[in-house]
Amino acid sequence: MKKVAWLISVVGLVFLFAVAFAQEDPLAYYQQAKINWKAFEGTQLTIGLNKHPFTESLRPLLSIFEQLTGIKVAYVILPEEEFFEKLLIDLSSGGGIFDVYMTSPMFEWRYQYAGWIEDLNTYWNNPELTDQAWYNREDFYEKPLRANMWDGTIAGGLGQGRWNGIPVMVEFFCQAYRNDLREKWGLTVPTTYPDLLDTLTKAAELGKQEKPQVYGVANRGIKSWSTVHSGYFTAFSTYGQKDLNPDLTAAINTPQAKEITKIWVDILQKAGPPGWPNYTWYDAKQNFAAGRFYEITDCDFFAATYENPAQSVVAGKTGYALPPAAPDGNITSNMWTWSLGMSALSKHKEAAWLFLMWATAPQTMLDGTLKYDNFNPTRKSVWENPAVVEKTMKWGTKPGEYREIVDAMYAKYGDIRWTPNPDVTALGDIWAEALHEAYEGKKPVEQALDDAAVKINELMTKWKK
Amino acid sequence: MELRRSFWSRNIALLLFLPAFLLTVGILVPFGYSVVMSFTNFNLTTGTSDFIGIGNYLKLTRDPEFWNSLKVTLLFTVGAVIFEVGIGFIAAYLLNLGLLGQKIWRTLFLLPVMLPPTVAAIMWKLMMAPIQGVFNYLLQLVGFAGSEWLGGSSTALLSVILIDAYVFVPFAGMIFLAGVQNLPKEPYEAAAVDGVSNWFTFRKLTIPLLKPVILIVLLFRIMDCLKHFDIIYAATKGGPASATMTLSVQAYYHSFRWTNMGYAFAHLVVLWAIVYVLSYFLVGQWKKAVSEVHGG
Repeated sequence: MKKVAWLISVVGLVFLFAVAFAQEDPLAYYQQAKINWKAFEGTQLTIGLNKHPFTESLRPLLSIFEQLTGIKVAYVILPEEEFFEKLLIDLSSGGGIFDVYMTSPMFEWRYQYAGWIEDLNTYWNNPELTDQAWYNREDFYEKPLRANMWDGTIAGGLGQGRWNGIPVMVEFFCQAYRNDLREKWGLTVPTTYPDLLDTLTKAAELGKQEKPQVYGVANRGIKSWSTVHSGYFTAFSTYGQKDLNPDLTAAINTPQAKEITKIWVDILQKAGPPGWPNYTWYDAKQNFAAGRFYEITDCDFFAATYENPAQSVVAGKTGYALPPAAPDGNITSNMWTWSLGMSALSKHKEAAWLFLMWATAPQTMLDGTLKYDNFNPTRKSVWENPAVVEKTMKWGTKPGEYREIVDAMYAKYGDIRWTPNPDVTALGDIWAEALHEAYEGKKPVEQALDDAAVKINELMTKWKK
Repeated sequence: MELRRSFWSRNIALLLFLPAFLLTVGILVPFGYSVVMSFTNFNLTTGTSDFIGIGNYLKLTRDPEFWNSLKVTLLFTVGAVIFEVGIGFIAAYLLNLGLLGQKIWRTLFLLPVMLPPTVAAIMWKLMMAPIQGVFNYLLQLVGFAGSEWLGGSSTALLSVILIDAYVFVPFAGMIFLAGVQNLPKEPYEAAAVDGVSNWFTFRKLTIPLLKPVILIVLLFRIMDCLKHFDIIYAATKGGPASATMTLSVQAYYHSFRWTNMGYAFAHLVVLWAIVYVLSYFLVGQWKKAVSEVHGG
C-alpha cells in the first residue's frame, strides 16, 4: 500500500512538472505552426519603432522570437515625428536600414506609391512561409485590417489590392473626463459640440480654484497632420465633412466645416492648454494622467495609462464617453492604427515576414496586451480574452463603460476619415497650420481655412487625372 | 632610378594638390547637384525630376510662406546676433577683470557651447513648458503670470532666440576674451597719462582695436543664424503657425516631410546666396579693419 502511494506521488509529481514546464515553454505555441521558424537562422533584422505603448509591449517579447528563429533583432526607437522623418529619409535615399517598420495607412499611401513598402499578399500566399490556419487572419477586426490595404486609386480603393501592413493596435477618439470633478462641480457629460464648449469653458474657470490649477481640455496641437487627425477630425467628420471633394479639391472650408472649426478653436482658446500649438500627444496624455486637466479629447487607448495607478493620479476617477454629436445626431470618430510593414528595400524579406507572423500572432498580441498594456487590440480573440475583459471592465464610471465605447467604435462610429492619397500628411500639415493661425488670432477661422484650401488645391494638382 | 626620380619630380605637385582637389570636388559636387535640382520638379514620392527652368524660383516669388520664412530668418538672425554679441562682449569684459575664481567662471561660462544644440533645445523646451515648466513656476512664485513661451506666436521667436543665445553666447564671449587679452597696452597707458575717462577709452580705443574681432564674431554668428535649423526644429517645428519658420525649416518641410525636393533646393539656393553676399561683405569689412588696426 505504501509502495502504491509512493508510486502515485511520484507519477503525480512528474505529471505536475510536465504540465508546469509545458506551460512555461514560450515556444511551444509557435511550434504548432507549420512554419520552419529556423529557416533564416543567423540573420539580423532591424526594426524601426515609434516611441509608443505598443513598442513597450513588443520589446520584452523579442527574446522569444530570437529563441524561436535564431534571428537577431536590432531596433531603433524614435519619437513619432522624428520617427517618420527618419523613416522617410531611409526609404527615399535607398538606405534600407529597416527591414520592418511601424507604419499606418496614411503613410502607407505614400510608401506604396513610391515603391517603398512590400505587398504582404506575396508572403501570405506562400505556403512555405505561412500557416494561414494557425495564424487566423479572420481573427483581426475588419476595419484596421482593411485600412492597411489599398489598390492605389487616388481618393478610393481602400480595403482592396495590396496589403501594406498588419495592424498591431487601433485607436479611436472619445471623451475622457474627471468624474470626481464633474460631480464636485455639478457638470454634465457633453452630448453636442456647443455643449462641449460650454462645459469645458466652465471647467476651465472652476479649475482655477484648484491647487494645482486644473485646466479645461488637453488636446495635441503641434504643427503637424496629427493635430488635425485626432479630436478635431472626429468633430469635423461628425459634422459630415470631408477633407477633399471627389475631384480632389479641398473641402475643408465649407460653411459647416467653418462652423465646427470655430467651435473647436473656441474650445482651445477658452479651455485648452496654454501654449497649445507646442503640445504633443505625449504631453496631453501625461498631463491628464497627472490630474492637470478636466477632460481630454484624444486617443481612447490612453485609458490604459489613466487607469494604471503606477502612472496616473486619476485611476478610478475617469469617465469615458462617445464624442459629442452633430446637430443631426450623427456621431463619428477618426481611426488610427499602428501597423507593422516590410520595407521594399529589405535584404531579408522572408526573415522579415517570419517576424511579422510572430509579432502579430494571436499569442504575441495577447501577451502584449495582457502583460504590457498594448491597447486597443486589433484581434478579436485578444479583446474578448477573459483576462483582458476583466481588466478593462473596470475602466470608467460604471462597469464596462470603456469597453462599450470601443465596441461601438469598431461596430459603428470609427473609421479612417482621410481621403486616400500619397500627400495626405502634407495636406494635414497645411491644415494644422490653419488651425494655429486661427487659434493665435492671426486670421479669422474662415480666412485661415480658405487660405489653407488654396494651398491644398495646389498640392493636389499633381494627383488629378 | 633616374626615371623614378623624374616621375616624382614631375608629378609631386599634382600629388600634393590631390587632397585639396578631392576636398573641393567633395564640397562642390553636392552644391552643384543642389543647384541643378532646384531647376527640376524632383519629387521623391512621384519619382519625377523634369527640368522646369526657373519655375521653382518664380513660384518662390509668389509664395507668401517663402516671404514669411525670409522675414523670420532675418528677424531671428538680427535678434540672436544682438543678444550673443552684446552679452558675449559684456561676459568677456567681466571674465577679464581678474575676479575671484576666474578660472571656474570661465569653465562654467563655456559649458553651454559644449552641449549639442538639439539637447539644449529639448532642455529649454521642458523648462519653458507652460504647465509643468520651471520658468512659469518661478514667475508665478514671485507673482507674475506665466508665459506661453514656445507655444505662443508672440513669444516663440524670442524664446528660440534665448535658447540660441544660451548655446552661442559663450562662443562669442571666448573670441572677445581672446581679443581683449591681446589688446596692446601702450595706447591705454597713454590714455591714462592723458587722464581720459573710461567711457572715452572704451569708445575710442577698445572698440576700434577690437573691430576685426567683432567682425569675425559677426561673420560666424550671422552665417550660422541664417542657416539655423536644429534648435528651432527641436523646439517649435517652425510653429506656432509660421512664427518661427525660417528658410531652413521651410526647406526641411518641403523635402523630408512633403518630398518636394526641387522646391526645397530652390529655398536652399536662395539661402546660400544670402549667406554668400553677407559673408562677402563682412569679410571685406574685416580685411579693411585688420589693415586699419595692424597697418598694411
